[in-house]
Amino acid sequence: MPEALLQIGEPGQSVAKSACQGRVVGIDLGTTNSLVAAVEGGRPHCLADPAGRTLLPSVVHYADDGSIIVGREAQRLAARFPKDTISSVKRFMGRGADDAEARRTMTPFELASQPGDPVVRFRVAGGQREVTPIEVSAEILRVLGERARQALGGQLEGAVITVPAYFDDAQRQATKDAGRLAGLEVLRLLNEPTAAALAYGLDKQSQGTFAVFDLGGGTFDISILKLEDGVFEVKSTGGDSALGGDDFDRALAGILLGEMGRPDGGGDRVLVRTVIDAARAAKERLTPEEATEVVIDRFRRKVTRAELEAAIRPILERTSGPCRRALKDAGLTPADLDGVILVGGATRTPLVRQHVRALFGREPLGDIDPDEVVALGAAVQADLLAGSGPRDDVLLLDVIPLSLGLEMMGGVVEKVIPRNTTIPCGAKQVFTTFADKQTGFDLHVVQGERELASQCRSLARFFLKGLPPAPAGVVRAEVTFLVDADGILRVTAREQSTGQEASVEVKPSYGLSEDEIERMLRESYEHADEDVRVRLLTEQRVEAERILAATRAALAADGQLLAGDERARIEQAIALLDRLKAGLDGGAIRQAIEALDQASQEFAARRMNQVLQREMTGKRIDEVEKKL
Amino acid sequence: MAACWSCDAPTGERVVFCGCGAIQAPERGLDHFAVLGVPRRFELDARELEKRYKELTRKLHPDRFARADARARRYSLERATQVNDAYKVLRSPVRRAEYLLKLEGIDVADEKEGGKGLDPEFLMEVMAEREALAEARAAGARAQLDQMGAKMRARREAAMAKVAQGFARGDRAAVERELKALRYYDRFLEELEEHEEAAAHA
Repeated sequence: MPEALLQIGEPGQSVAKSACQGRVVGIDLGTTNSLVAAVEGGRPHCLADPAGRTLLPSVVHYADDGSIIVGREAQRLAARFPKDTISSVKRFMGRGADDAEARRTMTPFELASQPGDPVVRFRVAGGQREVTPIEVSAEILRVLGERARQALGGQLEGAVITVPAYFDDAQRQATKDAGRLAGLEVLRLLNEPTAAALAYGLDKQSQGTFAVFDLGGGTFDISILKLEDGVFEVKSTGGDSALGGDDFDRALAGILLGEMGRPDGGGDRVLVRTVIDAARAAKERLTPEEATEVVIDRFRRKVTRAELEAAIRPILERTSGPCRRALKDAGLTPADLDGVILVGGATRTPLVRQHVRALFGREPLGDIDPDEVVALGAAVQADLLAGSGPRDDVLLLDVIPLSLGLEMMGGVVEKVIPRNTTIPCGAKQVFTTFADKQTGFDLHVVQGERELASQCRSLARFFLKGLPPAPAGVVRAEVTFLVDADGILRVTAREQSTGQEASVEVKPSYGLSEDEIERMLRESYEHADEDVRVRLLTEQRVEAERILAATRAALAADGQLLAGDERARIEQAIALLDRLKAGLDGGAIRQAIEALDQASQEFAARRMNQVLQREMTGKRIDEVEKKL
Repeated sequence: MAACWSCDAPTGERVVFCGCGAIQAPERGLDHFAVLGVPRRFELDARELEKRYKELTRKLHPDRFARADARARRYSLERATQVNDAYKVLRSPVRRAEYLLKLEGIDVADEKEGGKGLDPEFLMEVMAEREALAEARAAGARAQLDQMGAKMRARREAAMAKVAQGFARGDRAAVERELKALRYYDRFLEELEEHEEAAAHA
């Protein structure tokens, strides 16, 4: 069928990008630590500060005298000046003051933003200054940019900055703004798992399916990526934004505090901080060693690796669900994978590697420093963009993280686009009226995996008005969902006979935190059984109301068509359904509906005949008139 | 003959890029096979199909047009959407088969037609199996559930083979029958998986 073949030309000038000549870098702007890397002599490597350290703690201190301190020094000031020292600012990027994420982590900081503010603002420098997360991030980027200028010599032409795979539009935009504010030209935002894959040399020549297991200080992400013919396809993503290496430290610290006779620290923040730091140091020593000693003032305690592992095993177990789900969503089993890539400092812990090995049935790739791997990959991408031009780019195909749907009669959700669908994408569905002479459609767009709209996140609500009056089920509206490459959704509803149209644009992921995404996913699994039952029951009740109304109307209009004991039988079935429809047994309601259907079948057929006859008669009259 | 919106040069049918490099408006109403440029038939090589999809996507994806003219960006978005939607349907053998029938006016997915054309004996059997599934789930009978899953997957595979045979012989009725049966099998397997997922989570 040659005529069905599309002709492909080269996309020439329409994609021309300004070629980059100077030095370019890759930056991992992390929650806990940030790094900068560059390709030199064909190989990427991380750039160090004068003391030889590559990790820059993502902590910014705003002193009373107006000076700004970034990194390790700022970290040391955190205990004394909790309000003036901002850490984990990444969690606030692109968030409004009302976001759950902003409220959850606000504790140590003083917020200047008012409820309803589109951005979070911190009050710092002894209350003299207000800064946004974008400004705080820019300080970190400025330090890294300066480090790169020192190390590479000369001007920086551009940077690739990495972001988590399911950072939404607002979070990505905020990251870009921070780069610009720091005086960097942001060549591209790159997804962290893709960056990790690039660091392993999985470029356009490679093929295969990889899992990227990213366990950082405070977050866990799993992505399944397929690499082929220069296309990186995200098959699925998942994670837990409240799970990370910090939880390991806290678990061990909890044991230590218990033995010190201060189970929850007794409100002593300094003590808690000290013990957590000691626990973290002990955890790190237990990676190469089997046992170590913790010393806090006069408290001394030997800790073995086995003890640490017993403490962290339950936490680690929480990564299993998201991994299994990501594989299932990608339609894969562990055997289909070509490799598992470890990212994040917490993956150094031997038990984590063991856990990953057991989950995926293979030895994970871990020969690149898991703290550096993302920055190294970003440097590779920056080099690609600067050197060989746009045609050698690898292309990333992203997906929507949660299903998009519409609320139906009775509050049930009809999924229109399932989660993990590659974007851009579109879907059409036709809906009909529920009641006779219904004048409009109330369209409620929701996002989530649950069966009931009330349990999903509401994205938008709009109306399609001016429907032609007609019996229930006759008027049809075609609803179109379109999601563009930035994840922005547009919903259009069109009445088919009149062409009446209404539409709305929503950003499905805007303001939806990863926490919310996870909670919604988790709940959908925990409630799967219950939801299906509720859904069945709701659907049956709606159907019962419809058929009762229709049958009663038919009896009133065309009662003369009934034969023998037909009326009695139909009314008996109506009474039964009427009684059952309020109950909780969806199956029983279904049976009663079928019984009523059965009892009124012949009556319905006779009515249909009558209508047809009327139609035919009418037409004949028309024709006669025309001839006259 | 249509002309390029950018340079006015005449463009032929199904041209994606004009000689000047400008992406052309997508054609409306193409079926999924035509969008991906593959023959309209059931037997498609999955590898070839995927290669074709990637090849098109690499050229049409909006990321490639980030700095291009607004019109080029819109056409790229529309084309990439068309390609993604087509691939979503054609990559799955079941959806591809259903789509082929739909192009011929047979809607297997129509709920009202659900049981039609299926052997009542088959329906009884499926109902009995689903009841057994519900019982095994309630009892948490792991081994029994695994066994039921394996059996159902085998039946599913056999039905898929019959669909392929049906298409090869031009026996639409057989294809339709097997596709309807497949919907039952898949729903059964979905329920089983949901249960496993919930059990793994608990």
